[in-house]
Amino acid sequence: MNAATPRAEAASIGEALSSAGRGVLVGRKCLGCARVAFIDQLRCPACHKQDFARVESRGEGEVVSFTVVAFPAQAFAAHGPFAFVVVRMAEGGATTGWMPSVSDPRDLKVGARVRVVPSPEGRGIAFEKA
Amino acid sequence: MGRSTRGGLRGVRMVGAAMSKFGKMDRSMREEAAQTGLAALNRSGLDPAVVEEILVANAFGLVDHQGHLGPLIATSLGLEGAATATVESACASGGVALQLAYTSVASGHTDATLVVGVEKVSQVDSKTATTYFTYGSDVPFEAGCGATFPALYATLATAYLHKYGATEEQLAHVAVKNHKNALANPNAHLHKAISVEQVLKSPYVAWPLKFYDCCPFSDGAAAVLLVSEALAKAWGVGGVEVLGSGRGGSAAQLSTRASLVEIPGTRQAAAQAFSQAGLRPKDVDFAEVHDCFTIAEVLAIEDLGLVKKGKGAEAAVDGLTSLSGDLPVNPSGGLKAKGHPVGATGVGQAVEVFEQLDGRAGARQVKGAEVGLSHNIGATGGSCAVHVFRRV
Repeated sequence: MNAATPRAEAASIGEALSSAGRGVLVGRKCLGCARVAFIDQLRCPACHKQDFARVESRGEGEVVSFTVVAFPAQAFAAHGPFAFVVVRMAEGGATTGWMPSVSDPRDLKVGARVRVVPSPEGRGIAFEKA
Repeated sequence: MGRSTRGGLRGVRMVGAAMSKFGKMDRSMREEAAQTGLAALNRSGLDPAVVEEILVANAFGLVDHQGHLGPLIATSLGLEGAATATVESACASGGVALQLAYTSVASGHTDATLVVGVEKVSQVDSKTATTYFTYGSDVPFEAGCGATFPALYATLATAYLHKYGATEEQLAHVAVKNHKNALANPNAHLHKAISVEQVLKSPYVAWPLKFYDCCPFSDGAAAVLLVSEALAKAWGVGGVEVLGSGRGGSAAQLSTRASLVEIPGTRQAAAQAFSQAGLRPKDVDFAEVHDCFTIAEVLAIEDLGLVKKGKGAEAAVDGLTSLSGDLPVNPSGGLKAKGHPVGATGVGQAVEVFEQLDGRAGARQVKGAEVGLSHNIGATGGSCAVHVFRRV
């Protein structure tokens, strides 16, 4: 297998984020061990292969942990409070994201089912409760 | 990765230490760093001319509109020939610089390396400072999804409280303890006793972490001089033995970690440091750990092996980690109340260990302290440094 070709198929950070802005989460699947990642990764930490295929997530996952941000940084100043989440996706692999529609921690639980939605102003990876 | 012995490494001593008052500093970073470096050199009793290398720990230098601090500090100290480098590892910059200085001296590359940590963020408002700090995360995937540093640690706190049934009230006890310790530290940023009730009633910054669960933004400088054991003996100075010096790493993003209730890099750095020192966690008399948020102290004492996993939240409540407890943690007041001038933080921890093992910590002195530990982490543990020191 030509290592250069599959590697080129995995989305760059910029492509992944612009795609997430439209509500589509893309990641990469290791062609050696099928591990899925939604971050920038050129070498698999599990099997050490360097060949990946592009994966388009169904967008469904489960909250691993979360917080509700009451004092955001400048880029999100117009959006507080909102939830910041770590989500394990149905395909395997996890991603970070935010939930503009959750402003109260009582509205979310570890284990809650969530889905990817287009993000306000195309910022980051956005989720809503499924 | 880990070493089982100190094989081939020379003995290293910390012979001088100094820090500025943490909080808000009027001087520029270069001036405060040079002043503090000079104080550490003068404290050592060695001729400053022995210094061959200066490592500067600094994370946000460009905020002060001055880069390349090393040669400026060296020149100010009359040490123009010294080799310098700036170390940036987010909030672990100081601990990492200390570990690199240890490696320089232990390997024989230098006989004397000065470590100076410095930070100044008070020129900007807290919204701007919060934003600068987020640059230590994976910006597109963490900060770009709304995370601040309180938010990232709050995400760890949620996972911890969920898994172990720990409470926000238990976390509050960590803040109360460290604020109390800082009252006896004249160089601490915050001199304010707080109650558990005050912590619990303070506003949420990132649920479940509240205002008083979070460390302040601080300015400050700290410096230590590391020399070979042979050089210390030649000058007839004792100092403090650097018995173990370890570093480790964790995945940069929280999303890719197998567990959100531990920091793997802390475990790795601690394993190296303890192995090198030939000591075990139970041998530690006190520890200065990275408590940027209350949950961070809980994770630190567990990952360092000082308490069992899942039991860390009880330690401050039970008094185990109080100044008069069996295992005082953050006698200086910690990042939480002594303050967190990023680049200076890890170096400042070593300064506290020096004062304690030298018996000069005044009202916050840990009685009979022989072995001290310092623990400094960058971001959510992407960079970790652990040092074990012994009184000579």
